[in-house]
Amino acid sequence: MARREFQGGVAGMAFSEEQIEGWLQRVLIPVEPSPQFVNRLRGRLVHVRGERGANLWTLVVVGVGLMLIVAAWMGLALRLILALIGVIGVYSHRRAERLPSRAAR
Amino acid sequence: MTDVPDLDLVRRAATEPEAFGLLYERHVRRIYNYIYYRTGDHHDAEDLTARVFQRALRHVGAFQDMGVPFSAWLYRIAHNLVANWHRDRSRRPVVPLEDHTVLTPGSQHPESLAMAREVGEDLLELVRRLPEERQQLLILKFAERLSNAEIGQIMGRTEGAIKSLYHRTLSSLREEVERMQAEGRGAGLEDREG
Repeated sequence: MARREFQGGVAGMAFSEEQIEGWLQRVLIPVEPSPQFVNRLRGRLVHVRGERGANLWTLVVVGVGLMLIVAAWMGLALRLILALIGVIGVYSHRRAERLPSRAAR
Repeated sequence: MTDVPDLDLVRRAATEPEAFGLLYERHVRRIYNYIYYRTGDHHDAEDLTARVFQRALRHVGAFQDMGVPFSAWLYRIAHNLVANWHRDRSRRPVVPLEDHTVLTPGSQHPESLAMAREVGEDLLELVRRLPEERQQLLILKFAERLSNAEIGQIMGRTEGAIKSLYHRTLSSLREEVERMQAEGRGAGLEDREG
């Protein structure tokens, strides 16, 4: 038998699981993505990896740069504090020298 | 390099772009195929396939060989993304048959082609009414041509459980076809032996 339609008129017809399998084999066929999509996605994945690498290096450079700036500022601040302490020291030394001479007079 | 096992490539993929590129070339078509049948749309399939490989790229360093092939890991990522996609859309997948060529021996003839499309339309309508895991099983078995053992690894079940689920699925499909026939629908579905 070549064709047995199962429209309304032939209700109650039984089908075997092999027939269902045969239909599924013909219907669920492999589909291919377009070559453009495959190439584009490949490029994008490589780009993502490259970007990730670049981001890591950017972080390292920014981190090292920040450390250098902080160190430079700390050096300057330390020098200013030392200079201030020196000025205060000189001033108090002179004041201390002046006080005994007044007392002698 | 093309005959290098997946697991060797996976170990190198975290640091070597070329190794991940090879894994991508090996699996992109199958993952796309799977997603296409789960979503029913080429654009959505492309979008989700891209997300699968982007996620895989991010986590490939954490992949551990637990006896499950790399492809099964990819299918699970794809399955999760498709499930999220369905949840977001809150609708059933629709496979547009105008882009879908059903291969039959007589498909060159326009009448045969039209008939084959009708068969495909009815059957796919029935398939997409099935529960999610049964749809997944049929797609992996027919569209992906995987064995029960491979499907079991992807779905996290034993080969026996897959076999049993497959027979239950076929049985329920057969009942649905007969029910459609009794209701006078499914005009395209025919037995075309010989």
